[in-house]
Amino acid sequence: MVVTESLAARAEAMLNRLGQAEAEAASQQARTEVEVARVRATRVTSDLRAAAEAIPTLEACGIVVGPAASGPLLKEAVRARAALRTAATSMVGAPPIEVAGRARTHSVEISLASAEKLAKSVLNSLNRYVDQWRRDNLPERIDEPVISPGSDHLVVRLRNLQRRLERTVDSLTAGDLVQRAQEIKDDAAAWIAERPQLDADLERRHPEVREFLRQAATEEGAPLYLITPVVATWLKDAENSLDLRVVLRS
Amino acid sequence: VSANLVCWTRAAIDFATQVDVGGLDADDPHADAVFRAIHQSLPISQESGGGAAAVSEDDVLREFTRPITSNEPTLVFVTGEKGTGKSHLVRWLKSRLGTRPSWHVVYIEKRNTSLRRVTERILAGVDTPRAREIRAELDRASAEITSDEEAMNALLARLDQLVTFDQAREIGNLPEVSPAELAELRRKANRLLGDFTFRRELSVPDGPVHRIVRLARGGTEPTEDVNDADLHLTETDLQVDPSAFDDLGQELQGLIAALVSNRGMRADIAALCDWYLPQAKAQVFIGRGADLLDVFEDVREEIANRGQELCLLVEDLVLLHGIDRQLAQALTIPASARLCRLRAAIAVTSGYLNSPSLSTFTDRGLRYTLDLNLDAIGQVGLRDFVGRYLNAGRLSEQALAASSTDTANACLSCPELQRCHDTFGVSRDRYGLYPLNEVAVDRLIGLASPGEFRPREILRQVIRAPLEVAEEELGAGGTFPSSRFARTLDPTRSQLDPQVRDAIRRLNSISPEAETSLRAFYALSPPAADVGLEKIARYLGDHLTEGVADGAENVDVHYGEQPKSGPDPNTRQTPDEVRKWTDEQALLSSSTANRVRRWICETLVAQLQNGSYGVAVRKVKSEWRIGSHTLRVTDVVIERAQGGGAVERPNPFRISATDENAALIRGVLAAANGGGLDLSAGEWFFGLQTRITDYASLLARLATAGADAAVPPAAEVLTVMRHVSAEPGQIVRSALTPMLAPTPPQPLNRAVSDFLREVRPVRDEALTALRDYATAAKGTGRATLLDIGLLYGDIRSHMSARSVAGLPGSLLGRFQALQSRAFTQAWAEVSTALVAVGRVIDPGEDLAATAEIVDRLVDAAQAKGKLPRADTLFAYREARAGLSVDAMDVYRLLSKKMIGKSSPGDLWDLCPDPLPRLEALARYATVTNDLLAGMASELVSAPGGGSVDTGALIQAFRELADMLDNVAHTGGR
Repeated sequence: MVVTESLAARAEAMLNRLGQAEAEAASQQARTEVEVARVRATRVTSDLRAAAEAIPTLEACGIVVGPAASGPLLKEAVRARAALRTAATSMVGAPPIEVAGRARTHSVEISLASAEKLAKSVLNSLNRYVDQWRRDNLPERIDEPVISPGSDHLVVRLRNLQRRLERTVDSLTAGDLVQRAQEIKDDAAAWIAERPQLDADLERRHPEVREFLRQAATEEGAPLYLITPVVATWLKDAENSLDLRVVLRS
Repeated sequence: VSANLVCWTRAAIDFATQVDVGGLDADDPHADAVFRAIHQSLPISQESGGGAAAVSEDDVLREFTRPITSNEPTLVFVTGEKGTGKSHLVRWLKSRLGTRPSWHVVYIEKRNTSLRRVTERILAGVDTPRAREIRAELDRASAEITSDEEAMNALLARLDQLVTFDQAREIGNLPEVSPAELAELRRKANRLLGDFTFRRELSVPDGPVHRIVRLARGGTEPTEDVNDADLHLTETDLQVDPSAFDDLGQELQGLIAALVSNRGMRADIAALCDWYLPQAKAQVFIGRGADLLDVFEDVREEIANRGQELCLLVEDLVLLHGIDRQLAQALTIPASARLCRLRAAIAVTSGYLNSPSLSTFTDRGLRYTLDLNLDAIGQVGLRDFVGRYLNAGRLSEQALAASSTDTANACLSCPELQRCHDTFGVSRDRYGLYPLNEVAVDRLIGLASPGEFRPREILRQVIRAPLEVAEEELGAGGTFPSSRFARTLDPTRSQLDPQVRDAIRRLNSISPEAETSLRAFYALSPPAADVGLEKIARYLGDHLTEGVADGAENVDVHYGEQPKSGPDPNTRQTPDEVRKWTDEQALLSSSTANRVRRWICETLVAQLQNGSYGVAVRKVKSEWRIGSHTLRVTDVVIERAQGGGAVERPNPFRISATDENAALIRGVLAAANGGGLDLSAGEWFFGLQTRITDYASLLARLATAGADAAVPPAAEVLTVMRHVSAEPGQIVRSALTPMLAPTPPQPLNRAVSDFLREVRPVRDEALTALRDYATAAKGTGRATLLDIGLLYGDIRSHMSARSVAGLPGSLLGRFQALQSRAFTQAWAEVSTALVAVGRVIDPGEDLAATAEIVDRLVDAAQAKGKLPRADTLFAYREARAGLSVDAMDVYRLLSKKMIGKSSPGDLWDLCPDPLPRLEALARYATVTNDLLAGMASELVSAPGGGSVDTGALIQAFRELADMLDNVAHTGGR
């Protein structure tokens, strides 16, 4: 190997590079801190705005939306508003390093935290209001098992409806809450419309088969004696036994 | 009248002193006269019934010539060991037979006794049909054998045939061998004797078969001693060289291997062959048709027909090997009406007659043994023995011929008789002993024939050799007796102590050798000059040095004292080690020799240290380093001394085994034992001192020899190597210290450290060269001064050199190789480190400025929490602390070398180890680099930056305030 550049020259270059890197590191820190503060403020603002915009839609669905924040939180929000405005005012015209320094100040940090806490409280309250509305509007026999006389599309659909309607509303964003409220409303209507069709199909079976299916759908399952010759004959049809399982219980 | 007469002739002496009487022709009147002149009665004992009785020559003669009254042959055996005079007695018997018409005398001499000649002798004068047949057979056999080579071939072929095809189931000299074993031995012998290579090995010149053939064909020379064993085949004769049979078949190679390795097998086969050897010899050299028994029968019949008796005299029966047993058998056949009576006198060695197979022969004869112990002969008898020969040598042929039974005395006609006999003495026969005297005769006999009577040695060493010297020296008017006198008996004249001999040589300038010989051989109590000796000296005109005494055995005895030895001329004190060294060729023991060597070396060293030689001397273990030369105790080379080692030394201090050096060694030993230097008046030391001085001068020259070749590279190596020091110096003066005692920087590069360790012998060699050639010694001989003048030019010319070049193996070459290798290794490691550093920092970087600004950056980033990692600060500070100030300089320098051309001389740049600094630099640069890279990632500008919208905030606050105001009014709905 031929040495093309002297060690001294390379060392000098590296020493220069080291100083430059130091400056670059300081600049990057300021940019990061400014950006972090901006992102936090923007995100809280967006959440609160989304909550405010969702409330009319929810109420349009019939949901009763009450107060979304406690009194102390609201007081903090007032103080945070003042601090943020002061900080914004002081940043105007300041060099980036100084802006970053101000963004790192304690008051700004408290203000952003309070805003974030408020936004979270509002959203939780909206979730609670929507879930209450769901429970209040569950259709009849939503809690009964959906007994399937065979492989049937209807049974599947009813079971999906049943599952969605019984799922608690929690931790959804404002936008999601609106969408969820509309789904609950649609599912309840579908359940009410389609559940009777299943009952009619079941009635068309032999009584022993109906009894067997009714017991098999329970948590305890169907005892063996219910597997009567009629039931057995019915079970021999592969399509009828597709959803059946034998479970050994102690 | 000149006293120094040569009253003998060499020819007469040589004729008379033939080592064996067999050399005198039996039928020559002159030889007979000489024999009478030299004959001397010897003690004889007759063996009978297990006992022995002393008899005289006349008793033997009487017994031999006694009339034969029965048919039994009269057999007289003269026995004794080889060289004791058996033949002489047989010859004397013949000389005393006189004229006996009724006897047919056959005399068989030792000289020219071939088997054919012996047979012819026996047949001499016999002309019968059978005798003619036998002569024809002899002629035929002789014609068939024309050379020794042909004779050897014929003999081995005959031997092979006899050994292989004889049907005997047992043989006499292998009594314990079974028939089956004998058959197997025959088979093996046949396999060997039938092989060309084996025959060739046995037939080599002077080999066993050649020896046997030569004796059988030509008899013996008169001067030749023949051992009985020479006539036989023994196991040692079959010890052949196995490699000569390498090309032959395995079966024969196996047999040869067994023969060579098995002594018992060799002995059995040799015994088998030797059993048939006489028969084979007789058949080859006499002829198969010539049976000696038949010959003898014919001869005795013919002699009986003439009415005579047969008288046979044999000088040595053993030499008739091949026909001896047949002859013995023939001599036991009694006389009859057809066969003549027989008497025989036979000389034979004692052991021969003890053979059981000859018992029939030996039991029938009388045995006389020559009793030749010195006590029986006596000292005077020995002088008489010598006197007779001297007289025989003085007599002319005519005078001898005129002598009948009594030999004339040559001295009687000499005008110098009175003075000569008074001076030199006479034997009991009144024969003058000139040019010897009684003491000289006794002493020479004692040396030539110690403890026993060995007449042949006495003739050679006491009479013939001294008279030859005397003839030459006296006849030419020279000094007698010179050092040649009796040289074969006592070349050093050991009767005198070496110091006495040395003193005579130094003090007698006229006739030192004659005086030495006279005192050694003629003096009653050597070296003392007795009255007789002085008379002889005067007679011969020799000078005797006054006051010479033997102080050898007592080193405190000085010249001029009276001798301590008694009158017995043949006794002297037990010689000490030094005298044995010079006189008896004995080795000087290692302990004695090493004491002498050390003393001389230490004396040499002392001389070098205290003299004006200027060479450095130091002792290293048992050696002395004298400049570049090493003196070892073994450089003192003592002739015939132990402990000197086997390696030939190039410049020895030689001490040969001379009389002068005997005095030297005695003096050194006395001095080494703490005594003074005044032994023998200190003369030895004065002589030694001259030699020491000369040798010290030689050592001094050797110490500085080769300086021209050794110093320049040594200086160059050290000059270049000084760069290892942190401060190598830029001028000669400042370079000397790092050259001689470099101080390497710390930490030192590992490869350089290894190099210093490996190059140490080279550096030591260079330093040794400087020490040996460029240092001077003060009084103590220790090297104290470096003579920089010898080195200056070499150092200066290489001051800027960082590497060397030299021939492989030379000092420079070795240094070059080691430096090159070390640099390669070190540079490889450094290059790796440089590459690593180069990845993170440029050589042009101002490190000090960089460190300062990075320090600020780290502090600022730490303060702002902008450091990349938690441990960045610790890592940086640790790396920063390890950074050295000169790391960047080293990095820059080595980077340049890496780009350019590096060489072994750059090794020195790596001495202060650059690796730790480069590694620290690399670590610092790496940590800094990581720090900067991490911070660059950390400090990327934050996205989405822009101006702060304060207006929106103000508006939001106001809208909220309005909304709150509304809620407050509506209560929240």
